[in-house]
Amino acid sequence: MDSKNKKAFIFTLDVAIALVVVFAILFASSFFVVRKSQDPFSNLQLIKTGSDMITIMEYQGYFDEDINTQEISDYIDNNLHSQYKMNIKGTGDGKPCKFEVGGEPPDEGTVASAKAFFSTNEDYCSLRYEIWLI
Amino acid sequence: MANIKGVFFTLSGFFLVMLVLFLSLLVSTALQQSNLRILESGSLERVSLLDNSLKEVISGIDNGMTYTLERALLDGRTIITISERINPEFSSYGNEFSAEIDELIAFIEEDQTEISFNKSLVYSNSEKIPLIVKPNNLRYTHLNKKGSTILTIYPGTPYNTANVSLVFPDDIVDKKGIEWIESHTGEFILKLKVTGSNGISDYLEADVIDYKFENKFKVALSGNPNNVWIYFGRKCEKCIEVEVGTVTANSTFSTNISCTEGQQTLNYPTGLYEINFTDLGIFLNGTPRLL
Repeated sequence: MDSKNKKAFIFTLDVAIALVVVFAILFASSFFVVRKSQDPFSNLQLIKTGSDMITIMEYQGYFDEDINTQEISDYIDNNLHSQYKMNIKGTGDGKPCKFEVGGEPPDEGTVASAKAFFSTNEDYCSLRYEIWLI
Repeated sequence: MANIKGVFFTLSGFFLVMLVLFLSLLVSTALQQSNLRILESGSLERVSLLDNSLKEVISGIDNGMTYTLERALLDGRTIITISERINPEFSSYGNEFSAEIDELIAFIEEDQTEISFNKSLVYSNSEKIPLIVKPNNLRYTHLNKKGSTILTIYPGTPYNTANVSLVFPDDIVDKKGIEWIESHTGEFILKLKVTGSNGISDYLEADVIDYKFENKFKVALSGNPNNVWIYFGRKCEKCIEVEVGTVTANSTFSTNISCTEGQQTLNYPTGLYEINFTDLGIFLNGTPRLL
C-alpha cells in the first residue's frame, strides 16, 4: 500500500511539474506574440484620415491664394473627428507658403505624418501634416 | 508495464508542448507579415497623397486652353470640347506654360528628390501641350511644321463625328469660306464652321466623308494671301489637322465618344513625372489629370 501511495504521489508530482512547464511556455509564447502585435491598424487609420483631410481641403481651395489659417482651423474643428488632433505646417520660398495651423503633437504616443504640395497664385509650396489620437 | 506507460505519457506531453510552441511561432510569423503589409499600406498612402497633390498643382497651370467633358449618361456618350487661341508661331506657342512648368519642376525636384519630371512629354521642339482623352486615347496636340503650329487631333478609339469651329481676325471670303478641295465620300460626319471678323460665317457639314482617304478643305481669307487648310484623313484615318499658316485663330474642337470603355478623363501624357522611393520599393508613373 505504501508503495502504491508513493507511486501515486510521484505520478501527481510529475503531472503538476509538467503542467507548470507547459503553462510557463504557453505564457511566454503568448507574451511575445501579443507584444509583436501592437495594433498597426490605428496608425494606418491616422494616415488615411490626415490624407483625406488634406486632399479635400486642397480640392476646396483652402490652400489657394491667400491662406486663411482661421478658416483652415475652423474646417479641421468641424470635420475632423473629436478623437483626433491635427497640425499643418506650410513651407516654401514664398511668404504665402509659410503658415501653421493646430497645436504641437504630444511627445508620447503615435503621431502620423505625410507631405503634400500646393500652389498659391505666385508660388509652389509644400505642407506637412501631423495627426494623433487624443 | 508502468515504465512503458510512463514513457508514453512523458512523450505525449513533450509533443503537446512542441505543438503549442510551433503554433505560437506560426501565429507570430503571420502577425509579423501582416504588420509589414500594413506598414507598406501606410507608405503607399503617403505616396498617394504626394501624387494627388501634384496632379492638383499641375492641373492648375494655365495652358492657354479651356476644356469640358459632359457625360450624357442616358445615351452612354461623352461630349468633349477643347477651345484655344492658336498661336501660329510654334517657337512661341505655350511659352507661359513652359515657364510655369520649369518653375514647378525646379521646386519639386529640389524639395522631394524622389520625384523627377520629363518635360519633353508636354513641351518639345516637335510637339507642345498634348491633351489625351483616356481610355479612348484621343490625342489633341500641337505639332511643328516648318515653324508653324499645326493643331492635330488623333482619334484613338474610332469616333464618328467631329466639329471644328474657327474664328478669324480677318474676313473670310464671302460664299467661298470653306471649299472641299479633295473630297472622298464615306460615313464620317465632319462639321466645319469658320467665322470672320466681318461676322460672316460659313458652314460645311460633310456627312459623307471617307476617312480612309485624305480630304482637304480650304478656307480663304480676304486680304490674306495665305489660306487656312484643314485636313481630314491625311496623317491617319480620322485624323484632323488645322494649318492656320500665319493667322491667329480661335478654335473649338468637339466630338462625342462612347463611354463603353469606361469614364473619360482628360490628361497630360503618362510619365510627365515619376515618384520613385527605392528604399520602400515604390515606383509610380504620374498621369496628371485635368478633368
